[in-house]
Amino acid sequence: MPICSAREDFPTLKAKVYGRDLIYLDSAATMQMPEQVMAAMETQQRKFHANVHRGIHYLSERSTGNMEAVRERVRGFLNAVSTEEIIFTSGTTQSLNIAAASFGKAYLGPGDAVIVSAMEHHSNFVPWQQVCLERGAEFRVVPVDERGELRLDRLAELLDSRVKLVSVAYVSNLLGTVNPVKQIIEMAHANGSAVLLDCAQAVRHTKLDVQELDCDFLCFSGHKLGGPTGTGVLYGKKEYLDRMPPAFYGGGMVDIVREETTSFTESPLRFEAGTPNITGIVGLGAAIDYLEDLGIGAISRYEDELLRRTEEQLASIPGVRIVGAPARRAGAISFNVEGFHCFDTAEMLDKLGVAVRSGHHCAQPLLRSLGLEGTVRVSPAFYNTMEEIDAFAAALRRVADVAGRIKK
Amino acid sequence: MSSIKEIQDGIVRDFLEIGDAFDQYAYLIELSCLQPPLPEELKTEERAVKGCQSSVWLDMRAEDGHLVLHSDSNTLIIKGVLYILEEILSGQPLGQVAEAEIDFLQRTAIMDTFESSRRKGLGYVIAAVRRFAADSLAGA
Repeated sequence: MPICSAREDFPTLKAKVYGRDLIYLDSAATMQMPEQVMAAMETQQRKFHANVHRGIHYLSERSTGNMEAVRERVRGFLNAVSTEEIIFTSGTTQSLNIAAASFGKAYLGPGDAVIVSAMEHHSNFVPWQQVCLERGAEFRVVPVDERGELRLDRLAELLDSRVKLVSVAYVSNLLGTVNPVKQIIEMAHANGSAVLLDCAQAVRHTKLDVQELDCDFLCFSGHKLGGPTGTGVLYGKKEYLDRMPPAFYGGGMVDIVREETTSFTESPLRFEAGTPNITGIVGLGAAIDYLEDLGIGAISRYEDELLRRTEEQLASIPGVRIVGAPARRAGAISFNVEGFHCFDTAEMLDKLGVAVRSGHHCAQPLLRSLGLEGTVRVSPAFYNTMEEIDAFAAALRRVADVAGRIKK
Repeated sequence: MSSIKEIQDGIVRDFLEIGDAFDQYAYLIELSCLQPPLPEELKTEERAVKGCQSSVWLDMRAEDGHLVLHSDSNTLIIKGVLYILEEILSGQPLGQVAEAEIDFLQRTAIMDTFESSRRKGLGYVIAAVRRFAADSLAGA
């Protein structure tokens, strides 16, 4: 399917806001959902709605089959060795919490250390910080330079024999910085440390091949690639998952339950206590199909062009300051208008029909290191047009004009 | 001095003449510049209104049975709203402030275009001013 015709698949993009055409530039928060995903979920709901794994009846078998087919689909999408390495979660946040809790129980104790970076989303910062506090381990943070790049020299200094895991974002949700993850993984592995990649922002822009990357864990959310909210994936190498106890307990993840003790089933079900979001998972599978039909490479190339145009436009507007200048950006760019709080800018853009995000973007440590209170973030996706980027820039010029007027 | 209702009616008229939501917001921002900032030492935890997405501080005093209100915010749009609130309520008798029906936000449709957390936050601001007036009256 050609990428230029994809826009037609997204009914939300036809919305009018305040009597104007919607310009949706908040895809880093949630990507819009194509009709194909909605249709797949509707079919699952209408024809196969039943609980999985535990019923010996037709509907349950079909429902189980549909869900497990998505597990295989995700395995192929990530090029994982086996479906035992693919855990369904409610999203990146839950993936990271499971990883931190389970890895913590198996591998972390007093004297050990975990490294994250200062550019992490709170979801990849707080769970590790808390598990380190609970287990008496040391929590180390790699700083970010003024361009918004990770300080690899500092990472090298922080890596020592005590470090059991390094957890970093592939792409920063605030600045769009693409981190040199291959290099980070090589550095960590040379030190004997495991690596988790938070791919919440990378998943739509980059082909993720866990065997080629050689990462030990990886996670992403369904709604960042056109699937429904409440779905996500945690990938883990089997050698790690086999040693990790569950983070949650309940139905579907036990082997034998006795009054004194319980034994647990194998991965991935060991990490999936309770009834999963079956319809959502079917939607996640349809979203992956949709993106792969378009081609991640084609999406990435076109989104890079959209972002380049956005950056050029932002740079040409007096009073607009782009935040950070990383060597490579993907998916998102942050800025501020001089004299305006980021909420003022986003609120005024909204009145002109432009949907962007403002605030701390769940990345307070990064903002603090950049000396900022918040930013406005623009995040186009492949369904946006160059004309929309230009219309956004025209709207922002009007906002910047108001800011310029009050300065005088 | 004009009554709370008269001042509010005048403000609503001004806004309705302005036009669309963007121009109303631009006007709010221009109003925010008319308001002198609250001195930093007055931006204390006690003066901060809890529950607001933006930071909002209210410095309130009762003088001869009337309200003296100064306010500030870190966002200009909210500062503009606070400026209007001061125009309406500062200098009014405490009894009238405590009973005042503050509805200019709803009547100008500004409230409709604020997201829900902002709407809630502004509700807290108005409630805090009315409560201060009622408490001052009760304590007097």
